[in-house]
Amino acid sequence: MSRIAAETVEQVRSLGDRYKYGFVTDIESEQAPKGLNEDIVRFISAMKDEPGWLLEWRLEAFRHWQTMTEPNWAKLGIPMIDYQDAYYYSAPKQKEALNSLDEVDPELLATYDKLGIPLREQEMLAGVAVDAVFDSVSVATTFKAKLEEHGVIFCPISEAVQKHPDLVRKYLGSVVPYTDNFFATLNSAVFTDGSFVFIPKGVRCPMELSTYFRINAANTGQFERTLIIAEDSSYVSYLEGCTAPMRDEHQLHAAVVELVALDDAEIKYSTVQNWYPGDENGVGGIFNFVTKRGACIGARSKISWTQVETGSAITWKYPSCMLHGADSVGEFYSIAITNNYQQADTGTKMVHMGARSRSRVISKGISAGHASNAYRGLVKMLPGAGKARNYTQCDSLLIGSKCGAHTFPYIESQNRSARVEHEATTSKIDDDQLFYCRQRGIGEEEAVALIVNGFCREVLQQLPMEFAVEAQKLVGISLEGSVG
Amino acid sequence: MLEIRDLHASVEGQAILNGVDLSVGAGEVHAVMGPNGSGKSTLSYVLSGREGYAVDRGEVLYDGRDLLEMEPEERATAGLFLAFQYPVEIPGVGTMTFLRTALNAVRRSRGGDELDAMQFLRVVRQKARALGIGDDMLKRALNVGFSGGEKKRNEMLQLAVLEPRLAILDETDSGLDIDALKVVAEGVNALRSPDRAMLIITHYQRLLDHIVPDRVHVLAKGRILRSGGSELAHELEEKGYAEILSEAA
Amino acid sequence: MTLGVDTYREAFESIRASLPGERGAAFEAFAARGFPTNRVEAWKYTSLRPLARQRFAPAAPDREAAVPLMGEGPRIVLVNGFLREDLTTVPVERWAGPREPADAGGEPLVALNAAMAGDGYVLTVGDARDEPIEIVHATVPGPTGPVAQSRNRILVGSGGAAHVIERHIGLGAGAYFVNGVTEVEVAAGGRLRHTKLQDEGADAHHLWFMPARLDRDASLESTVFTFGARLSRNQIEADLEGEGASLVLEGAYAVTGRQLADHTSRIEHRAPATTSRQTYKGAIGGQARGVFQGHIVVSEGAQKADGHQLNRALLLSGRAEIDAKPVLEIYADDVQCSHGATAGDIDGDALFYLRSRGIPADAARGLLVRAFLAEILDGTPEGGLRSAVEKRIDGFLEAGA
Repeated sequence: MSRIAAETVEQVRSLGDRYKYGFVTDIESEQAPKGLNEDIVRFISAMKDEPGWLLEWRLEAFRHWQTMTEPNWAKLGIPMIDYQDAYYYSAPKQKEALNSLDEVDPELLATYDKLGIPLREQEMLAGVAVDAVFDSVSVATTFKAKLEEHGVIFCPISEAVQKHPDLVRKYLGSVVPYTDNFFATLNSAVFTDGSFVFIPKGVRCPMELSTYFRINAANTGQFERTLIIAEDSSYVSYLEGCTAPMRDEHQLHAAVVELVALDDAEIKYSTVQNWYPGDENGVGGIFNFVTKRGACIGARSKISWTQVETGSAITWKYPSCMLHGADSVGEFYSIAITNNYQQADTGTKMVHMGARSRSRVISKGISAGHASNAYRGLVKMLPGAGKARNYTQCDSLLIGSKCGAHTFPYIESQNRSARVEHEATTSKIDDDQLFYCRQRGIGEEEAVALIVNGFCREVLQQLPMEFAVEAQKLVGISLEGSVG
Repeated sequence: MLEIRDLHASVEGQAILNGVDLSVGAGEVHAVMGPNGSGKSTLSYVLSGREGYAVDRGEVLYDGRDLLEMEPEERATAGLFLAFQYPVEIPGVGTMTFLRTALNAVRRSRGGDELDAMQFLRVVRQKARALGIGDDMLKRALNVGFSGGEKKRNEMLQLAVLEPRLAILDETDSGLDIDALKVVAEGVNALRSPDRAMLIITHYQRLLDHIVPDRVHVLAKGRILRSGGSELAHELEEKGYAEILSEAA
Repeated sequence: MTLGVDTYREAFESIRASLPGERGAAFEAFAARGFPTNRVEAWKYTSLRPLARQRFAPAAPDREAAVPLMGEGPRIVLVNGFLREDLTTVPVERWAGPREPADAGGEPLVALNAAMAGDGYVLTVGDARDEPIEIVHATVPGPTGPVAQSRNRILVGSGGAAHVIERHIGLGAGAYFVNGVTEVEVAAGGRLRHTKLQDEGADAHHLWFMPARLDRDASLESTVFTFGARLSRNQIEADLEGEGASLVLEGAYAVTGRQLADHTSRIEHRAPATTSRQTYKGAIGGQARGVFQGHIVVSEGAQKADGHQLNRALLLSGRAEIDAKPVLEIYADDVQCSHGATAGDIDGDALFYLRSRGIPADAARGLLVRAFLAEILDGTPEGGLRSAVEKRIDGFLEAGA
């Protein structure tokens, strides 16, 4: 190993000390008893005052879940999770109903300030409407009034169940059925909150919508469920940020996100995931098992996923697009950075059913320390996908000789007129580039950050401006720690 | 300013430099000429601190400091600049981003303020124009997809922006047509000043028609075999290296 | 229940007494897993279920059959998996039974071969040979749909260099099943060039495994041409164990009707400065399917490894299918690895260009398919092998793909 690589490994190793979101907020929370059984599912449903059909749906999911076993095919060494040793419901204790932001627990608001989301200031700034999910419950949604003027619904999904039951009932589970996979099924049984977005026909959502997720309570699993529906000719850009405190034990995050795009609709979904990754020895950290899927139901609809994954001990997620509509478009732009003992197994599925549907996959994996980083993806051209197109580019960058980078693409084409192109490369950070930067006076760690940001540029460009800046810094921070 | 004494260096165990002695004073321009494989590029890499070049013997003093002890970026911020024979492509990193990061690193180390975006833009635009570099080239990723001539001009732009005290130009003339050569030479000549020294490494004499050196050294077989004034370059052009090599043998 | 075990146990017991060496352990290694199903990741795209359900009687030696030869050069001939000494001109040894447990391998079918193979050649190359060695594997179809399983080995010593051409053919129409293994070992500095022409009968099933080990600075170039068999799989597992070892794998295939052609490789870079290059190209017509699985592993410490693979498939009909899975698994940092895959129809612009110059559509398509496969064929010297491959491509195009 070259000296530079050795030093970089050192600097990345010290990242564990630098996780700046690792504070715990001291507020009381209401918890359901530990463990998972039908009574807990009923308890959650009752706490939310849910209609009967939803409780039934949850129970069906739970019964199905009991017949399933954890997947073991992903390239992850997963320590056994004891599903009975976690809390499935944890809500910050607060007043019954909130009339305005002023009634939100000030401690909570302070937490979001630390996260860099001053909710109150959001109202001053043009642009971002925020829903914040704390442990399992959505605590505040800003900008409601303005959104309502445009007919946009942006609220906690628990509220949507009460106020817009028909919409929820029609679309919940329509993209990710409760039988889908082990973690999605678990989520269907016990999801506690999440965001709901509905953009009516012809409306271009006047601002970016944003949700910040935070796990605070110990031994809590977070199971949020997000549902976004974009009606004909509508547009929405949705941002999601995630953080969690530093804790010794692993915590489970098993979210489900469903997107539905009708004719000519476009949904842009951006994630900056910075859950606590565990310390430099791999102790603690979030298990991030997420099912994200979008259905391009309508003709000319478009769903674009962009993700920057720097956190979590283990990440397991494949934001996917089911391209039903003719001329529909799916995109997946991803940066996954792993270091220390982090493991990431991420990628996408692009399933082409509609004629002339197009998809583009750009994945950048950076692996350092003892970490493991895998791209796993499927591109499938079904017989109906005449003249469909896919382009996939997966690049992996290795920093240090103890890490691993893997690429597992599956390409299946049953249509002669469909065209699939796939390229992948794996290499280490280039010594010549590092030397060139250093010869111009740029210090080694700054040079690494510069080169890695350049490597990721195509993906960073996809993020909305305010997220791009944050993400760029995150890339820098994760490679900070410097050279001796 | 630069004192090289009995410098021996090797690459992967193979000796390339076998006792180089060279002294360059402030304000002077020296040319190092030599046939292929004489160790010219090795000399420039050893001076700039590239990995993989082992110094086996000798010392190099830069303003009285032990140059060989310094990290590459320390040498750079101390004012040593290497114009690369083969400038490196860095995908995704904008030319302007790179220049600004480098300039601010250099300014910080000299105790100066960082330039704000507007100041920086002004400085770069003005210097770019002098070198015939358009805005579109500045917007592209560093050296990516640049022609050979564009890469060399980009090196000259960095030289102009970073204002080093000792500039080493490694085969800057290779790959340049005559017009580009003139532009580059003008840029370099504009930077000549009493407190700045230059070491021009080249195979051919043609660059030295435009940048007239104070001293010319012939490097062959890893040593300086002959030194002289600028007329030595012309002599080499006429007679080739064979005579000097046979004299030394 | 493990697939195919009962039928093959019966067949195994019927010939067990006649086989050289001890076979029990090898058979049990097979029986523990049976034929792989689609649930086994490595067999995700190639189903052996119908094959496993068919009954094949172990093929018997055939000392009479006439075997068409490609050239007059040195040769080794096997019929039904048994060496024909009367037709063989190269001195070879014969396989004498499995060395436990190594010969059972990771694949159940390699274990089945270790249990049931009755014969096979062992070719040792000690010095440099100029003339290519033609090796014919011929199978005579029969009413019992015989299964031929031979176990072969090519050993190239330190100073050795050779080109071997393995041809797989059926002698007449009818069903049969070939489950063969050619093991390759190349010692330090040795060089082996290996070309395989799979031209089995239309109703044949052909599974062939080539485990290869390369020592320091050894080189192996293996090119496969696949045209025959209803279902075929060519599986190469190469371990680059010595520093500087180099591997080139190439393949070209043209399949139509209901054929399935599977090319699977797994390359382990276990030592520093090892290189591998893979290029597979296929033309798929009718309702045929192509499968490509290429897996490059770079082990920890195998710095400066250089591994590249490319798979390109032309889908020539509306019901043709390609499934590709090019995998990189990297545990060292100073590496250069890549893979590329494309799938699609003939380039419409190129087709139009040719037609606009007056070339009829069919001829234009033929030209473009030939051009597509030419990259693989170009490395093949003029001569019997090359003209045999060209003839098969012509046949494929005439059949209307």
